[in-house]
Amino acid sequence: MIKFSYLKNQISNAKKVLGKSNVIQLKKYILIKDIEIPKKFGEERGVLCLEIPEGYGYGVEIMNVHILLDKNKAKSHFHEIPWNSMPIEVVDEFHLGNKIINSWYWICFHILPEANLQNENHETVALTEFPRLIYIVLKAIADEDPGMMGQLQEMNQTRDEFLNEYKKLMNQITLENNWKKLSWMYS
Amino acid sequence: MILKFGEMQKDFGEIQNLNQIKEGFHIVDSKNLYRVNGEGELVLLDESTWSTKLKEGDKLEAISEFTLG
Repeated sequence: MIKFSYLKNQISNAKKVLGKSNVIQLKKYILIKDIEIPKKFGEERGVLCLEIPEGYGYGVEIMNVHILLDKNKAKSHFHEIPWNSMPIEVVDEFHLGNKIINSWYWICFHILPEANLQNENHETVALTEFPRLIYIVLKAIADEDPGMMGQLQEMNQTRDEFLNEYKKLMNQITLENNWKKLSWMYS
Repeated sequence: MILKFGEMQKDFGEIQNLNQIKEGFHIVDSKNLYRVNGEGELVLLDESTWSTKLKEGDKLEAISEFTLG
């Protein structure tokens, strides 16, 4: 279950800050185009694909993020996701030229609990922050920051394990929310 | 020292610590502060280095702390 009023508000704010045509809401994903990237990763600007998790708007943070980068410049640091493995609703937003020159790379963010803005309104990290979070990661790679390199290596090694756990968590949230809906209907 | 954050601009006078800036701009304590340098890059301000990195008129950004994994 996603709190759509919260999502709508986040999208609206992101459009104001990042440009109306740069923020595209899809069914389960949000695309943010024209994001700034360090020169090491190419002269073109990047594109972000954020997966909207179950429970978004109820305190669940966005974790699964994909970034579209020049395929010759990003390979060594990220897990590459082939175009045909990306959701069709995302792929449909791009032209053939993008598909030849660029590739998608997976990044998993964990917003630290103490940095989580959870409150009674279940606020999470704003969509507008994600281009900056990505920039910090890419800049750290460009600067060969050992701490970030270590995190990336571990992230790639534990990817399968994480995705299994993530799927279980999303199913659990869906079940809990369905149960809440049922109890509300029958009480 | 005059600093900018978003649409806000504030004269902090003499700055003692980073919390003073966060309070002045109503930034939650858990976020990290960055200065935007001349090339538009983000430079992290931490307790040990902020006083040497921060310059008059700097534009600041506040970003959530995260790990990858």
